[in-house]
Amino acid sequence: MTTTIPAKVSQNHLGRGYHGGMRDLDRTLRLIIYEHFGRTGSTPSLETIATRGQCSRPEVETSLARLEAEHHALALAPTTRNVWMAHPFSAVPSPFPVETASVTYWGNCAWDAVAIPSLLSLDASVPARCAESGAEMNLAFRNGSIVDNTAPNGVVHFVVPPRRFWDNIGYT
Amino acid sequence: MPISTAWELGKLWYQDRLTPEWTPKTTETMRAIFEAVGLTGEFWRVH
Repeated sequence: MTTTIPAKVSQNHLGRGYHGGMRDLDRTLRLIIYEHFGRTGSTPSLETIATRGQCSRPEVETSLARLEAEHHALALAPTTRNVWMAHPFSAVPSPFPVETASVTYWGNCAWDAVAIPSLLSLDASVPARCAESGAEMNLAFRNGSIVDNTAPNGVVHFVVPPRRFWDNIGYT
Repeated sequence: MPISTAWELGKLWYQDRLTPEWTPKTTETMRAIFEAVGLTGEFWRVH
């Protein structure tokens, strides 16, 4: 199956205008980050974002801060200000790997992990473990369906209500 | 929630994430997504 990720970021998105409540630069950089995550499973460096976005490093840092604070479009690492989460993708390994034929992705949580195969239209396996018991919970996704679930009675536990997701996104 | 519900919720929640047109979800959109997968009640109240 093919992904739905744009093959490249179009020049049409490199403007400096303001549409739909977001600056064009923010929209462009967000798309660059997601394209990179979808292709590689990892976040691009701030330098790569600047190069692909045809802007300066300070502009990247300001734009990413806006994307986090104003739009909740991604979350930045508290100290480095690198991209930490572009939901459902995690920039750092987590207990929720999503393994495809060519790339391993990381979900921020169980919910994010099961969302990644659909988002990318990819077949994938999610070898997770129960957060409470440690028991294996292996899921397999093929052609847009769950085809295997070793824990048919397993649940995904939301601790934080949606209206509080961004109060502390790391905890959420 | 069952894993199948989380999977359905994820499909709806993230379906526009890779598009250039993505914008933050409105309260109404969030509520509609939760209701579409049967998530109602105080915990899922969005404001």
